Amino acid sequence: MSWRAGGIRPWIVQRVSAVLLAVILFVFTLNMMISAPENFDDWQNLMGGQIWHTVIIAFWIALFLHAWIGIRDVIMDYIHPDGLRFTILTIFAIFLIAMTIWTFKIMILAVNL
Amino acid sequence: MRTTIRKDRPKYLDLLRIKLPISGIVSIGHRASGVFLVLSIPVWLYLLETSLTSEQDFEDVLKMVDGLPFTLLAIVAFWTIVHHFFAGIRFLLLDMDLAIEKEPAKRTAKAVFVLEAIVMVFVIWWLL
Repeated sequence: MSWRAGGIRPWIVQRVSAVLLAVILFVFTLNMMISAPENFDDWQNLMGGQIWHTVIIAFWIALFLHAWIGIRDVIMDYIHPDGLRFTILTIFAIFLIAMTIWTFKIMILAVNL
Repeated sequence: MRTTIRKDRPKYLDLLRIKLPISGIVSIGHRASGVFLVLSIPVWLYLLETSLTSEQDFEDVLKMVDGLPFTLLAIVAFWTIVHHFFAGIRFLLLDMDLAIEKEPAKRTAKAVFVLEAIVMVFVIWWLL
């Protein structure tokens, strides 16, 4: 896939991931409003538990795709010189991959506790 | 593809002379909030990681988020995510050809700001 690729597939991915992110965010906020964790143990049990653990990983995958397509569109709209555009896209890709590794590290940490 | 665009096409880039319609404000706000949210990811991951490290770290995070600098950041962060959320839902509706005409589109753009304001009143009340 070329970094200049446009088309229908990113368009669909952007919308499917948007719905997933919106639903998870809404449910998470509602959950926090109804039963906010009172202390460290509650918080740890919540984040390390099967349900939220899975949900957060799903959330991250959707966020990764959504952020990539969204920022890619913004960069392609405002930054025109090919070299600069490619450089910024590369830096952003490295940033997102680093954030992904960090997220999974945190999720492993949450489970092992 | 870019080579087919005419070079002499008119550009209206004097930001002081452009009167952006309300749907345009929703749209640029959606972009700006998206960029902000992506760039702020390390802050949230840092807080999540620290809060899960140990009981002491958890307490430290609570203390940190109680301070004024973080409260201000949290207000901006909530505002951007709430705007991105409502404006995003509006775009999804537009994709389904709902409220696609000029007048209904204007109304849903206004609705985004109204809903956003209501949620933000609660958020700020809760944070302060």
